[in-house]
Amino acid sequence: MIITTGVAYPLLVTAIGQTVLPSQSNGSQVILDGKIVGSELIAQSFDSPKFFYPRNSTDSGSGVDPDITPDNALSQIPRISNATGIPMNALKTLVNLDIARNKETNALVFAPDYVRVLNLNVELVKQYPEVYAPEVGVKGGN
Amino acid sequence: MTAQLRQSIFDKRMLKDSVTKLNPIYLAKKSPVMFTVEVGFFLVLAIGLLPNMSLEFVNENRVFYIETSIILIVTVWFATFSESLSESQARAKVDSLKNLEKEVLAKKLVDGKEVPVISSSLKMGDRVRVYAGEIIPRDGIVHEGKAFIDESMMTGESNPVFKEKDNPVLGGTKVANDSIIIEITSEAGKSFLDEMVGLIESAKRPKTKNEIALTILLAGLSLIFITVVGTMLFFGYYLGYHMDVSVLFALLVALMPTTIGGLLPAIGVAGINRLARDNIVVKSGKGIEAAGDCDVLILDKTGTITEGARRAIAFVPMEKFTEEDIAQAAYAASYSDHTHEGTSIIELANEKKIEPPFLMEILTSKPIEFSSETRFSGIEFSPKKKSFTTQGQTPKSSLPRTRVSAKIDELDESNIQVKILKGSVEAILKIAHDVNEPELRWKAQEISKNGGTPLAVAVNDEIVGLISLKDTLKKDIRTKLDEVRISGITTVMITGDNQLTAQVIAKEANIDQIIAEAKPTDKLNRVVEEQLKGHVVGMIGDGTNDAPALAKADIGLAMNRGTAAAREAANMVDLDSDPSKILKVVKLGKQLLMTRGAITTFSIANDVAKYFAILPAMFLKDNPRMEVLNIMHLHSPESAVLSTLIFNAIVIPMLIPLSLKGVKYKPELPEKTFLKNMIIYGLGGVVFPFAGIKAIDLLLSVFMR
Amino acid sequence: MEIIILLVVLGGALGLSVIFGRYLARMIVYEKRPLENTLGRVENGFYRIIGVDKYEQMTWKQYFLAIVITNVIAAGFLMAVLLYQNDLPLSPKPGLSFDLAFNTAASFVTNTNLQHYAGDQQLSIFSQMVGLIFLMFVAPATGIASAFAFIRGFIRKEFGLGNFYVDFTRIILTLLLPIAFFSAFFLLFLGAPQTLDSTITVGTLQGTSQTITIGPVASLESIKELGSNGGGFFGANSAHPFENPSGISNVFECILMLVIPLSFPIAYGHLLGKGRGLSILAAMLIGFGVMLALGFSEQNGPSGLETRFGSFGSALFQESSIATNTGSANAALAGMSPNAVIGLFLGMFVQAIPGADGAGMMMMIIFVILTLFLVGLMVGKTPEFMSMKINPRDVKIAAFVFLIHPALILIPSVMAYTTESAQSILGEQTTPATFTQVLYEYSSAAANNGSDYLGTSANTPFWNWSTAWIMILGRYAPFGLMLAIAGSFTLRDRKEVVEPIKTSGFLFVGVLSVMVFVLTVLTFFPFLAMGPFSM
Repeated sequence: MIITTGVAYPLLVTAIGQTVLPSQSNGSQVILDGKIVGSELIAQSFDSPKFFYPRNSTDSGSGVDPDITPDNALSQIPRISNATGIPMNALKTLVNLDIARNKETNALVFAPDYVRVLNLNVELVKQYPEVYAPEVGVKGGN
Repeated sequence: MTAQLRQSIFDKRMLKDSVTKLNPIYLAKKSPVMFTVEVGFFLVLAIGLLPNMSLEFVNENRVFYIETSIILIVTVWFATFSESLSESQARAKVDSLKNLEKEVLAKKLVDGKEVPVISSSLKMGDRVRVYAGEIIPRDGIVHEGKAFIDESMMTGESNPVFKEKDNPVLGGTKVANDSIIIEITSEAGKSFLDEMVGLIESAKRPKTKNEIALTILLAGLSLIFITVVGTMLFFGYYLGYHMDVSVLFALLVALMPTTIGGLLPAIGVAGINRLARDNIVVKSGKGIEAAGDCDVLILDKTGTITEGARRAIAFVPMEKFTEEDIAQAAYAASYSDHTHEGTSIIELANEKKIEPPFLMEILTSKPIEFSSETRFSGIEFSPKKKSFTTQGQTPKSSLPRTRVSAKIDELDESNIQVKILKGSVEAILKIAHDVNEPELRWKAQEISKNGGTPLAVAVNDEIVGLISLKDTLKKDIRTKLDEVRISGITTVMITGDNQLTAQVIAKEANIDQIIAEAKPTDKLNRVVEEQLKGHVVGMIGDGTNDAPALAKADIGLAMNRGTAAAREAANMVDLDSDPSKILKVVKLGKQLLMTRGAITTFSIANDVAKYFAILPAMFLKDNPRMEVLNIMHLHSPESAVLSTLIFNAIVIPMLIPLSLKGVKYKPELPEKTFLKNMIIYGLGGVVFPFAGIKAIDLLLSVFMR
Repeated sequence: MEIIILLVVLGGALGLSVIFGRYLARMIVYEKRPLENTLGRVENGFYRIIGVDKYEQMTWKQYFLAIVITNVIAAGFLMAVLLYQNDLPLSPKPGLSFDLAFNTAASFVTNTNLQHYAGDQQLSIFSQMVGLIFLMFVAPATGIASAFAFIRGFIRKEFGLGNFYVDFTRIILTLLLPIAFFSAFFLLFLGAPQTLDSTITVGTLQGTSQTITIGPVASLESIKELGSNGGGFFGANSAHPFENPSGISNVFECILMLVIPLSFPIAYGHLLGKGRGLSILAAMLIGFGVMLALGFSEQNGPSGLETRFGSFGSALFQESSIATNTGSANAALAGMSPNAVIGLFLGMFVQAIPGADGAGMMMMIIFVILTLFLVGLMVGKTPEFMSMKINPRDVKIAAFVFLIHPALILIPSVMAYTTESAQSILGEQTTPATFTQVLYEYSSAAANNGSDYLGTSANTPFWNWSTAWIMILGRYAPFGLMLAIAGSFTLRDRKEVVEPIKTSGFLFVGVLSVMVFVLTVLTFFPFLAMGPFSM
């Protein structure tokens, strides 16, 4: 029974998972320019004012909440706009796009609206590679 | 009831008894709930009396402790009082029975001579002669003679009962006329009466299963509340509340099911008492409880459902004959039959103003007695001697000649012995063949269909017609049986009648099932059969052949007039010998359980209000958030505790009448009963203490101001 | 939107339990299952290995003994793994202290999953996978098997309660494993990782490095919820995005937790009358409804919310988790409102709305027996259950089962204070909030729930030992007693007659619910007033 439940079962799930769903199996990694920059499910700390910040780690149950509320994201827009010169409207659009994408992954009804911070920041880097060049040190992909 | 209650309240022995029962050792064994309350009394009293008690958990003033302790001990006393009260009622019944058992002078027969001895010296097998007006010294059977016996002192039945050879008689009853010789059948001190006294008197009756289960449940609840209150002391202390031991004890006593705990013994004794009052002697408490569960009742038709006395209601002639013919023949056949049935046939004939013309012959006839082999009875007479029968001498009947009288004359002429017989159709068919048999059977069937019993009447080998006999339903039996049915009990009627007759009576009386043409063993078979299906079976019996079934049945009610074997085997005996009383027993059994259930529910439901009374008193001073719980707004914490305890105590005596009388039981669907009781005792149990405690608090606040 | 979530969770759980209820019923009476021949062959292999005669029927004592033996072996295995994980493969970590290992083993074998260790940080992948996942099958299988035996007690006549080893094998292989397997894939699809690596290190956008803990999460998560276990791969439990990645996974996990507990009344209905099963289901749902109402009364949500669940998703998950005694959490307990916390306590006090896999059903029947006792008296009939007389011994055992629970919660809580063990981790000053935490800890242990406020701060010898023993007593004492009741019922005569009061229908559901509520509230009212109510 130990072998069935404790070894065979998890290994089988792992084997199939790694083959069929490699991305999820390995922690939903976010890739930018071929490099792994994090997991979309785990909060990453940002201190540059050019990025959206996640929640303080102790504010959430998990301490690694990857998401912020739309209100939180919107309130960060003026700061980011100031630091990067990206127009507020453009930032707002990106935020809304992220919200829409997340809504889709939750089949529209199963979760409140939220913003996935790392995805949004990666999107920023992709859209404005030159603005973020100093922080990221790589060329954005146009 | 009330007079009796009043009388027993002022019974000194009972009061003394209720105080003796306060003995903690007695309580610890008998009622754990009350024992805990008493422990609380000692503890709180000690705190109140001992000087300089300034412990961590003692915060109130001395007077409060003494008041609390008094209420606690009064609570216990109310409980012991209720028990003593019901026991004293049992004693009253015993005393009245014991009066019957006085020593009397008996006339013992020694070698045919009467020797006066005192009754207690009589042995089994001794014979005594008892004259009119004398008391029968001990249980026995009639050995010789016939007499009417006055049994009113035992049964309340005012009409003297006729007893003849081999009938049982009871010690303590009185011979009304004539004299009889009685053979003593019981040892001194072991008579039926002695047994009965013993049964009622033994208040130490073993607890029934349900009682044990309920006691366990109550003990379990008490343990839970002890844990709750005990741990509250610590939590309260660590949370910074000013905890007080006596207030905690008050909460414990209030929460514990003291009401049902205190009244439980009284309810049990009251059940036996109430049956005793109805002249039913119960041999074990188990029988009464089983009665509540009874779902199949096997009832004898005769005596229980019907009056047990069949009467002739119609004469049915065969086609060849007239009503007059059959009436005349029936008259003749019944002439020597002095049973109720026989008399009723003659009466019916008289009613119809029909009299046989051959009265002379009848007067001089020889009776043919009923025997179990022949199963018929009647008369026979020899042909008239020719020499005597000249036309002039024989008084010519003024009545017109009928076919029957013609036939008798004809037989006379032919010098043939005349037999006029009546009996069951089958029995008569064996001896009389001159009949259109299909017609006879058809007519017999018709009588059966109407619930009658057909008797055929034959003159020698010719069948003249049928008599329809019918038993009448007992008064009120229909209503009683309707009630039984609503309570979900299946009724089974057992009778020697044929299927058709049985069905008609069953329909008239609203009986569910019948066992027709029953043999003596059928009763036992049916009892076992039903029990195998899981039914709880009740039955009545009086004959010796009923004894095995009575012993096997869950509720066996024997008739007092029945045989000793039947009384021995049954678990209850009805002194009035009224079979329909089994319905009363069933009702009482149900009431007994319901009373326990209702008071338990009431007791538990009360806890809701008690929490709301005491918790604010306990916590409000130190924690203003508890104000939300303070929905009762009692005068002060002290008055809240005291009024809760007072309420808790006085509920016990308030419910004594209910415990003794039992919860009202109405035959109806169990769901309906349940819903009704739940509303009265459950919902009422929640609401009533809110009002009661508040009222007591208002009263107390006048004094405490 | 909230209504839709609620409907999907309840509808999904109930819909699936109709299917699984039918299946459970077949398993209880050893009827043919789909693929019986294949499954039978596989199982026979297992019986041969452990040397079991599958036809042997056990008395309640033998059945209970088999439970104890199996569970002791499983717990001993887990303890050994935890103590010596430093010597075992797959990212070894230092072995646990003896008291923590004992606590953890007791916790997982009793289906409690109280975690005094720091989740992923303290356990190796081997310990999580081979140790914990194994126990996560053993514990619910034991609970389900016990409930099987218990229900058989009311169906069978003088034919034993079944064979524990057979039940245990069949439950793991043909019930838990297949569902867990497919659920793991669904969770994997939604984002729960599944790998044997313990960490991945990435260079962040800002050029620093981030280490992310990872592991075979999906395979643990599915059986964790399905088996009413509740012990998370991560310390943060189902709040962690890897355990519960999205709103959909949140809803799915709620359904997983509810499905087996709700299948039991359906199975019971198949075997003992549809109305009776539905009535018990209704009583469970009414209790659960009260908990949800208390949970939802909190509008703004606790501070420890995960953004992707929101207040509603969190409250729904927390109440579902406590109601099924799973004990997993998707938000911090500390932030919850008094009402919601009272709702959680209610679930742990009753243990049967709907309660853990198997255990909840048994507890509900205990309530049914107590209810019928009083109902019977109220209508003047000797109380009976399933047309069998309830005798004093049953009432004694049922009352004892009922009494054990408050005793196991309250007495150790007092001990925690008198030994200063509570004060040493919660501060000298006792407040309603800290009292609530202590009360919660033991309620959770006694109810084999596993959620807690204290977490790793309770990793002290006192808390480890005391909660371990409470978990053991809270699990096996009632199990033994309940099996004893079932054992005595199999020996009892059954009637073919109408019940005096129907054990189905609105009236019965109403009375049963009121009885459950009143008995529970009367027992715990003062403590709720002193604790969460005064927070």
